[in-house]
Amino acid sequence: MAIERVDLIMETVSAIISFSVAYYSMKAFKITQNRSLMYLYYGFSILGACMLTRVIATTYIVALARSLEAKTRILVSTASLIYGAMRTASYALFVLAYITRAGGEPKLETAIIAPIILNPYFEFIEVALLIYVVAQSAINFIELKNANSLLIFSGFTLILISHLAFMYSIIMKPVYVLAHILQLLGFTSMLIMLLRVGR
Amino acid sequence: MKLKKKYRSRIQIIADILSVIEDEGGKTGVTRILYGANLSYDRLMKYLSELIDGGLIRKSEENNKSVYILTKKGYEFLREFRKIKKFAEAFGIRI
Repeated sequence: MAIERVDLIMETVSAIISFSVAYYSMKAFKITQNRSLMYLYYGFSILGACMLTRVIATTYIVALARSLEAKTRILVSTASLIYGAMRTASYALFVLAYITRAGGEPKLETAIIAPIILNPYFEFIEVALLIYVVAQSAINFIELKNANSLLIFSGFTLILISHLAFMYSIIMKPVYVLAHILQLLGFTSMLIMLLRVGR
Repeated sequence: MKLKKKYRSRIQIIADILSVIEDEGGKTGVTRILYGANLSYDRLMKYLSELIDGGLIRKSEENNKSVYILTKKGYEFLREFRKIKKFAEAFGIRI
């Protein structure tokens, strides 16, 4: 139970940070009307909502598990499906933010993303989308060479590694907590960037 | 060799105009803004008129010359724009 509590706390903190980034993206979008910022806003909002949904669902399922085993199994699979779909959608929006940042119309790559949201192998899709996002943030860091772009690059990289750890935790349970720590560190990196920008 | 033309968004042009006025101590004439913001006279006059309507700058007469003064709202806009620009750039988004 102690481990579950820790992972829920970490996920709640990550969700709050995600909402903060979403709020700042929305503020920036309102002033600039830049579509990439709008996609960032939707992406981080969905990601935050997705993590909070998982926290609420897990708390409810853990409480219910003692009494109704069959019902719990249905709930777990439903919650996993919603969680995976939301997370995949948020990463797809980040990819869209990078694709549209030049100001043009979304290219063919965008059309490929939409149907795979329905694919059941969410973790693999999320990792694939995140690899693209990490690569783009790395290119940006190489171009700018400043602390803020480094923080975003390391943020997305840590979230990507956390996904790989989540996948590995299926066969090795202790890695699950490490995955949450990595995810929290990723969001903390983004929070530091927000604090630096807002100074 | 063909030089790549750098696209400047509307919001960036507005920020450039306000920055020129700020750099000149918060008050300057049209010629300085023309050079600093790198715009044609007609386009600049359109922008200046929009900025006056938006309350970001105000026009005044000094020694029979028009000067444009950055308002408190203009300073606040510039401060906010710079933060937003840093934020967007961290994600690789140019505004």
